[in-house]
This record gives sequence, C-alpha cells and structure tokens, in this order.
Amino acid sequence: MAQVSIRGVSKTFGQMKALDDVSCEFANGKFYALLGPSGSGKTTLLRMIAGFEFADSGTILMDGESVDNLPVEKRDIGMVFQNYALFPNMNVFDNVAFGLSVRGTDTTETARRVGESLELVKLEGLDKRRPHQLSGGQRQRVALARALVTNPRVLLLDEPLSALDRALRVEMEVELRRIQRDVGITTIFVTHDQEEALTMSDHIGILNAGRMVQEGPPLQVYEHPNSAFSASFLGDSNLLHGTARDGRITLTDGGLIACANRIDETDGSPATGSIRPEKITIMDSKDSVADPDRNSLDGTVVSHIFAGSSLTYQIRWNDEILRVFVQNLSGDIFADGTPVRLSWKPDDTVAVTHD
Amino acid sequence: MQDNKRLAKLGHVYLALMLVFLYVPIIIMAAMSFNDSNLYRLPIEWSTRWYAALAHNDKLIDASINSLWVAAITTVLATALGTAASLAFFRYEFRGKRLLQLLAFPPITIPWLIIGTAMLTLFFWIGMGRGLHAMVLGHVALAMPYVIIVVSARLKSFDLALEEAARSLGASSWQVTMRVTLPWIAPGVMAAALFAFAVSFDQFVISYFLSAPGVSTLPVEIYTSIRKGFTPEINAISTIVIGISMVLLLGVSRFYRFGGER
Repeated sequence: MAQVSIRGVSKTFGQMKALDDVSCEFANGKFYALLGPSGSGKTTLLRMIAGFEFADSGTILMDGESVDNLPVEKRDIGMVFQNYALFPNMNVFDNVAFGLSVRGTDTTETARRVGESLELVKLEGLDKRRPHQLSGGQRQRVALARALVTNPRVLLLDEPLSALDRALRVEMEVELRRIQRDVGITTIFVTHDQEEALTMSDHIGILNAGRMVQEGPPLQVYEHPNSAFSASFLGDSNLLHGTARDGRITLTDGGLIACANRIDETDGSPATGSIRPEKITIMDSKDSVADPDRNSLDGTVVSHIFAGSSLTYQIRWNDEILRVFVQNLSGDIFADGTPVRLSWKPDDTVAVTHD
Repeated sequence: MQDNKRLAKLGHVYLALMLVFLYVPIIIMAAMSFNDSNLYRLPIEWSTRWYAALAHNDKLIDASINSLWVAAITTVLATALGTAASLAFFRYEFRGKRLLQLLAFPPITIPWLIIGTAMLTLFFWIGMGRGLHAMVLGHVALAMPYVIIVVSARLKSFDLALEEAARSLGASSWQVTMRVTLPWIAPGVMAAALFAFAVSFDQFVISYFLSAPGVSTLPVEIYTSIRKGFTPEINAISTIVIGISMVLLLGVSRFYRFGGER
C-alpha cells in the first residue's frame, strides 16, 4: 500500500495542454475518484501514475520516492482497463497468474494466490474459461483479480464500469468498494460519471481543462462547490447570476440572496450563487414564507416530471429555468402554468466563482 | 431478372475459362511426367521412368537441396526481421516512420532483373562475390516486404491495451512480446513464413544472377537444363514442386484468409 503524491505536474500534447500544474495527494488505503469531462486530463493523470505517460514538468512520488524514472513494469501497480484488456490466448487462471508468472513465482504459491484472488472477486470455479466465454461482469472481475494478485502498491481503475449495463454497474460499484475495503489498497478511479464518484469514493478530485478544480470528501465537495463548474458537474445545480452587494447577491430582478459563504468580491462585480434542486421548497405563490431569513423568489411552473416517489419541476424565473426536486409527500402536483414561490436556506446557497 | 441470370451464366463461363487457362498447362505437364514417351505421344502410356531418372540426376538433386536450404534460412531471417519491423511500425511513432515504411517496399516494385544486377555489382564490389550466402541475402531483402505486409495486417486487430496491461503487471518488453503479442499474431507470422519460403523457393532471376558456377538452385538448374535440351525429367521435378507448393498454399490459407479478416 502506498501514498501517491502529484507535485505540480504539467503535460502538453502538441497544442493541447492536457495537465496544467496539477498537485494532489492520494492517501494510503483510500478510494479516490478523479472526476471530469472527457479531455479534462483525468486519464492522462492516471496513465502518468501508471508510467505510460511522462510529465513535462513536476514530479510523481510513491511513498515519498520519485517514480519519474521508473518504467511501468517496475512501479508495482495494478491497473484495470476500460475494456478489461484480458489476454485472449489465456484462460482465467493464466490471466490472473500472469503478474506472478512474470515475476517467477513458484507453482504452488501461484495456485494459492490466484485461488485467493478469484475467491475475493467471487469467481471460483471459472479458472479454465477463456475471456470470450465470460460475461461483461465476469471479465471485469477477472481484470480486478489479475490487477490485485501481485499485491500492488496502488490500484488504478480507468473507467472500469463504463462498458457495463446499468444494473450490472450498480452491482459492480458495491463490489468494487467491498473489495477495495477488504484489501485496503490505495485506489485511484477515473470516471466521468458523477454518481459513481459520489457513491464509491472517500475523496473526489474534479478536473477541468487540465486543472484540478476542487478536491475533498464527496459530501463536502457536493455541499460546498467552489466554482460554477464543480457545482454543475458534480450533481445538479441552479446557478443564479447577479452582482455582489454587502456580501450578498443582488439578482437581476432586484431580489437579494444571502449565501452560506461571504462574497469577498467588491460591490457591483458579478457574482453567482449555486443552489441544489433538492434544497428548494416549492409552495403556492399566495402563501408566504414563514422564516423571513430564507431566500425566496417567485416563478411559474413550466413543466414537471413525475417519477413516482419524486417530482422534478422546471420553474421559469425571469429568463431562466430553475429545477426543483421534491419528494412526493402530499400527492399534490403544481400544474404547469401555476405561479409558485420558491424558498431555501441561505446556508444552502453557495457563492461560486464563475469560470 | 432475365438479364441477371444471363450475366450470372456469363460469369460462370468466365470463371471456367480462367481456371482452364491457369491449370490446363500444369495438368498437361503433370500428365506428361507420367508418360513413357519423351515426345509427348498420345495416348499416355503410364510410366514412372522420369521420376526414376530424377533419382540419378545429381545436378537436379543438389540444386533442390540448395533451394531448400536457401529457402529455409531465408524464411527464418525474413520472418524474424519482418515481424520485428512490423512490431516497431505498430508500436511506435518516430521521425521518418512513413519514409521507412515506404523504403521497405521497393523490392516488390523494382524489377527483379534490376535488383539482381544491383546486388551482383554490390556483392562483387565489397568482395563477397556470388554463392548461396549472396542468394540468401538477396532473398531476404525480397521476402521481407511480404512478411511486413502480412504481419502488419494481423497486427491491425491487436489491442495495444493488452501490451499495456502486461507491462502494468510487471512484464518486461521481452515477456510482453513473447507471451502476449506473438501468441496473438502467430497465425499471421506463420502465414508470412510460408510466403517467405515460397518467395525464396520460386525465385529465379535474382538466384540466377547470384549463383556461383556449379552451385545453383532448382529454378536456375531447370532453366539451364531446358537450354541444353528438354527432357521429361523436368516435368517430373516440376510436378513434385507443384505438389509441394499446393501443400504450402493450403498451409497459408489455414492461417491467413485471403482478401478478408479472419
């Protein structure tokens, strides 16, 4: 197990800046999700930790020692690839045993450890199968067993669930997390799926255009996004634009919004507040908001999506559409075209930088 | 509909003509090798005397053994070098790659006569002279492009992520190649080796230029014999060669699907 440190790493491919002075820490034994849209540099960063790419500047450390001059095969890593990359000419046993066999591990030890690994991923009894005789989920498990059998210092996962269908993906999310906890291995997981990042990881790093936008535990990043990008990329978010005044935001229609964090911008400069759709309470426009400290604004229902246990409203406010997510508690639905009043706590309003 | 049928019929006739054109001479030759008469008299009187005579024709036998040796060594060298080149072209991006790929192919396009002359000149100039060793060099240069074409075609279906996976598991470059890449491209390499063998075994022009007096290969020896006067022994040896070629062809088709993905 190891701690991995990224120190000021930059990488350029031709004209494109893939990584721009990225620094972060991957703590020992933790599950870390690198989240970002395609082209954000997350895969490049993962491939650098693996040793497939090399930084133009900056350094990568494992347990405090630089690995910049270590080739892939000397880094002692386990990696699961997007399409699993199982060796088609080998059966499951030989696939899993590969890392041991290239190290010259003896037969009995190999058999024991391959057995353990297959047991860990719940694939006992399939060792004679060929990769093409396995289902997607089983291939995924073989790839994982193969990556873990050598007890690597760090486990690297390159969008390993993206090739699976929805139901299997949810199952594998749970499995992957269980296995990671059992083994206690430092894990770095690249994904563009914010839900995967939220449900699986101890720590999330959001990358955009080669820069680390925000880092932290899932709940913290979700509740306190620091930028419009991370607010809308991790979870859904309503962004209200206005100008700063006395540490609050004056909206275009004159309304005033209080925020959880004080806005340090000088009065009159542009400011943006982010509110999660589920934090907003919706009521009839004739009712008044009980707590005068709550932020509120009036709008009109444009449309609604009924999903049984919950409802998502689209509300027109000025020229913008806001989303409101409510649990189906009363069984009542505000019909399209109804004027409504929205309110939410100042604590749930996060002033973000706009980029 | 009627037109289509007529067209299909025409196609069949064309195909039949093609096959006749290709195989009738060969069949006649094979038939004549079993004919007792050396003047092509009909009807054929069954005889294996020309094959028996072949057994005593030391020149043809020596030339055959030379041909097999040259072809065998050429096959090993051309397949190894060509496969290595294909892997390099497949794995790496480097300066001058396109140029190098282009430069590998002239042996296919430049007339053999010219290559043969050029090689002869070079080998004399550097003092190596003619002989089987010179022939092997010439044949390797000739066979390598075919190997590169066939192995590269197979590599197109190889997923580079497999090599990355192997490396991430601690395999050295050598282990990656031997245990992951080669097993996948093995059918292509086998087909390429058979091609290389055929290219060398059939080669006449370059062999003719590079053979030392008294040491020749089968095609050169057949040519020399025909110039001195034709005997049905040539039919016999040719029939044997065709038989071997057909077996080789079957071998190739086993590994390499012509004009399509496997």
